[in-house]
Amino acid sequence: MNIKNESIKSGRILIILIMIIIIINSSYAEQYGKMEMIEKSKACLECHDDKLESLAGSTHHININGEPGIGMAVGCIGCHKGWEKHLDEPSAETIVKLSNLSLSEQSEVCGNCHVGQHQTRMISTDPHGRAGVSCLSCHKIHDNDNKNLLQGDSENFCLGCHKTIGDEFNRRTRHPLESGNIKCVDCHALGDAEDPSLIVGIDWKCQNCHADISGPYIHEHPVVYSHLVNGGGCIECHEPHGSPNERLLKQSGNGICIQCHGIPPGHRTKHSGWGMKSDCVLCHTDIHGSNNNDKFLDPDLATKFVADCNQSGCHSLDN
Amino acid sequence: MKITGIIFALLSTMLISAPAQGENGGEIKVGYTFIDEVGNRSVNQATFNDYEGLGLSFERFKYTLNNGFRLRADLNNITLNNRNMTLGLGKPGLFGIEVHNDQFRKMYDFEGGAYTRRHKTGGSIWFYPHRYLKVFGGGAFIGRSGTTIDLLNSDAYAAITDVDYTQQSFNAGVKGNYLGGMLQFEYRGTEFEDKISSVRDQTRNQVRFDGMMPAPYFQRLIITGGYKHFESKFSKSKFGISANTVWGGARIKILPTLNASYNFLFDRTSSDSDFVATDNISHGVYLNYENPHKTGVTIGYQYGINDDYEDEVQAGSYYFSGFCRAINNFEFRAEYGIKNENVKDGVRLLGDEEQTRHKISAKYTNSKLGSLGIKYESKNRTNDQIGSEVDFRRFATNFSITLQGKYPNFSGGYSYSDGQYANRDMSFEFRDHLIYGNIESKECKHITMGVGGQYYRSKRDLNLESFMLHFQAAWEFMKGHRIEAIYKIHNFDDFLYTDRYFTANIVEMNLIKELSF
Repeated sequence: MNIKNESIKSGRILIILIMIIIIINSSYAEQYGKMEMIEKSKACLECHDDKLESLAGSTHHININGEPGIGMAVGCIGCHKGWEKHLDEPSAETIVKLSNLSLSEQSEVCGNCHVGQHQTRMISTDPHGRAGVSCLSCHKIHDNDNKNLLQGDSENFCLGCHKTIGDEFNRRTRHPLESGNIKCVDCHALGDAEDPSLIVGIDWKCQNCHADISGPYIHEHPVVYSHLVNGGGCIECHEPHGSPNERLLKQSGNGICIQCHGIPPGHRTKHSGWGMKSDCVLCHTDIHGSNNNDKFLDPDLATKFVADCNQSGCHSLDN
Repeated sequence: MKITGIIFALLSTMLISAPAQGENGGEIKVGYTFIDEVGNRSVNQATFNDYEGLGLSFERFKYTLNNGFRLRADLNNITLNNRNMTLGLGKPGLFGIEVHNDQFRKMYDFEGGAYTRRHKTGGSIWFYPHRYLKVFGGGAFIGRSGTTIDLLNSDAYAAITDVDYTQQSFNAGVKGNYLGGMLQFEYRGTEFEDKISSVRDQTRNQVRFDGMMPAPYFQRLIITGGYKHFESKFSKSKFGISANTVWGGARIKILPTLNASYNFLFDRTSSDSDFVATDNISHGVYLNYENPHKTGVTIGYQYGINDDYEDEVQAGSYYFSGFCRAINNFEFRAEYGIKNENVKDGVRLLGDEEQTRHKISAKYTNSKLGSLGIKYESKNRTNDQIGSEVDFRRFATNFSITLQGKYPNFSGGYSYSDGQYANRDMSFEFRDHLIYGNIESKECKHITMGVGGQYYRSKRDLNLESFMLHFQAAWEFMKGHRIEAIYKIHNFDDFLYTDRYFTANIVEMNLIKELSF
């Protein structure tokens, strides 16, 4: 209880600190006012009038008439640095195009307005940021009416780069991406996209849909949780994109259990090794966790097969 | 049907409310799907969600009004049980609303009598009450009902189980943005109700804060951080699990082409289970050099501790990645990672462990001709204590050819995967081949044709084969009208089991009218 209270207290202090720093810092960055942005962008549009149309209907639509009301202050000069010089010396060299900038420089420009979990992750723990994937690798600003200004109009346009992941969705069992019942971002929410080795704590992504088998249980199977086993979680036994085995399992039959547990000695010898020849989950039915026993055995095991096994005293579940 | 009615009412209202601007339109599709299938309905996942009957779709609909309001709709198979519908309305920079509904069926036995249907209905909304403030929220309702077979189908002992549960989730949050800084708060709540056993009813709550900002007086340094509290409790027993997570980091631009970053994470998960509380701590440092669009290199090190008070495991990881676009139209990428886990305190089942990963890829892209990509990757995990080793290798290539003039477009690929799981008692090996391709003709005398397919083969310890072929033709008559015929053949065979075979012939005839406003 004390541990919990201390954690909550630490969290509150952190939040207050962040808020204070933001308030202090807000005085020092530069940003154009709404009317200033529009007025100065009008000069650009005198030559580049096609660009006005190329942004129509998008988030970056330039409110050229300065209509009052709530709206974003978007204009050419917000993204294209060097515009002052370009007005005096109009050439391709004097204006900054986002596509010529590095990832970090692009994120600085886009980050003037677009700062959220997605951008935070991209510059910290998201693997895309480390692989030289820039804002414009996925987004296209001009002449684009796709949702979120994505390069492709498909919800799963991620597969354009991650083609081998797309291949996995053609295996025997897979999540229903092809029928549109699941999308890449349903599991890989961009704001949450982290380095897999950093996903600890309760990674409840799978349980969002598969809550019927989610814990907690009195007796946990540790591998089910990423906080208990480093790199663990559902993906320790299941291939989420697709698998050649049933139920998205990494191996067929007992292989998945034996990978970590081997064949327990008693199972080799008792009753001619019957326990070794059968499916592990035939008896260990509650494999995701059990509220009944720490071996994840079927609570009705004794009656399931031969009642005598239990009544004889050999296989009491308490032992 | 209720949702369908609402969607049509919204559409109609929007269409007559204001004049439109720009390119607006979409497609209305009316068609019939015929299905002829033979064999085990539970083995071929590609056809689980196919239904025979009359389908009505309203696809790729976009409509922008002069006042900036935009309407998007993609309503597929409204009249069938595999309906998948999304509807969005919004004004960029001001507000957005999106609702969706989809359903999916999964089969578990030969005749298809044991099946479950999952339906999901949800929506999200966001708006800006002020240019620096965004309010957002949403909700979803998931339901699954039917009958399923217990975890693994172990033949004679397979147990049929009824499934009937619903889950409602909702979230709400607010985000403030100002001068490159951000502070966000979000709440998520979930109620799970199992209609067969109320013992499993659960309530989950999560609050999360995220922050990011350039450092005061030193904007080359960006600081990020956040906090999350999560808890899940069974409604009746109050048995639960909770986690408090704090993370943060910083990135500094040392030179215009050189960045360094650091991130940390601390998590404490407490449970009423036999694992009382577990701490996870992680620190990572990365150095990144990038010459825009030419070369880039990242090196990193990450250190982690997993401590449940009885055992402590420490892990150290090295990471390297790079890309090179020195030659026009060519891109090379490479990635390497190694992770060592050592048990420092106590004993755990797996003992010490080592993991390595490689990825190498090359891609040629020509905007006029097409593209060609090649990729090789491997993963390895060894665990001496339990005598276990996992090896995985994959080679994949893909291409697309876009020819000018009357010639058709080609695309295709081949993927080879090879995996081996070995331990002291047994091993499991698989080798997968996947070949796919498509040919699409250009329009000739108002007719377009296409043919494509994919072939999947899994060998070694498995012996599976499946393929899908599709042929399609469309004839455009009058202006903006099309008749489309699609013929698909699905086949699946598991040669290790005599009852795991399936063949389906699916014919779809559609009448399509393009809408343009």
